[in-house]
Amino acid sequence: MPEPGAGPAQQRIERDLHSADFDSGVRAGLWQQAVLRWPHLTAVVTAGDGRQLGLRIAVDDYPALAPGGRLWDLDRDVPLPPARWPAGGSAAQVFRPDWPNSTSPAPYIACDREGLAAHPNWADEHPGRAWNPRRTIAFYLRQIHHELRAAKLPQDQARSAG
Amino acid sequence: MRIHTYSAGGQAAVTHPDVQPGTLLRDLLAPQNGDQVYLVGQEAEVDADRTAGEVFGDQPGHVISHHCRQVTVTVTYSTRDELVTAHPSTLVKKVRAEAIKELELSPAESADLVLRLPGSTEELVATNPIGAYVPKGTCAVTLDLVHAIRPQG
Repeated sequence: MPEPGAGPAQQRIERDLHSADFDSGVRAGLWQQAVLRWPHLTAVVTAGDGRQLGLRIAVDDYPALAPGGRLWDLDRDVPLPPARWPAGGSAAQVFRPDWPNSTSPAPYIACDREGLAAHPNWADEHPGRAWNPRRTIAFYLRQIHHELRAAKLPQDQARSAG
Repeated sequence: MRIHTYSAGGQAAVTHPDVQPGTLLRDLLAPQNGDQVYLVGQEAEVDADRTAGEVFGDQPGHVISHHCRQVTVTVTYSTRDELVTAHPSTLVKKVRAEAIKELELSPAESADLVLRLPGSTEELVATNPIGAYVPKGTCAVTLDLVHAIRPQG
């Protein structure tokens, strides 16, 4: 249930974290339950090899503003170094260590705030994959999972599944 | 406990956030004459007079009420049509996989394929039951299998 005193954006994402769409993703093993420490959500998404990848997602002004994700080392609570990023399938096109900059790289997808900010045309050209305020966090995680379906994580770095 | 209910043609679920364990599934779904209640993804009928607690324990539950015992999905890919039969509670992702198998598409060819309703730009939610896209009055639905283009540059 929404935390007392939470603002509209926090209330909305807390509600969406209890939605059918989110729960069904957990049930299907696409991702795990997420932890919200406002204004960030820590999520774990399953890659193609069954191993699990951490994300830290800014959700301020949700859902008006698209989520802003970043690969995250959940054990150390720091950004995941590029040497430990997923590889294979479309992973290299989506997780680019130099985009939008090497200091704070973001997923190169149309539902991430960095992608949309740099490419405002994506919303019209790719409506099925772009963020809009009717989307939920489950849509964002599903897009990330979609791009990870053929990806693998470095064996010695990834968290164990389950 | 939290229960998500789906209905024929409803597409999205209705979430019941605070269900008491003793609540009957019938009271959540209100099935009409001829409707059956199924556990989503398990292709199994469940007695609507069982309680939410009996069926789902303390986990979130997903359940669909539907008038069909079987649905026929016509999947259109390019100029080809393939028929896939499924249970109303079968997950969309399983229907997609069946269609790709019938179309004999390779993993490379099928990696970015998604199912959409004709004329829509939105992909069907892979973890939803296919019955949620089959409206009342029919046991068939036509879907497009299309490549979800990744934005570049």
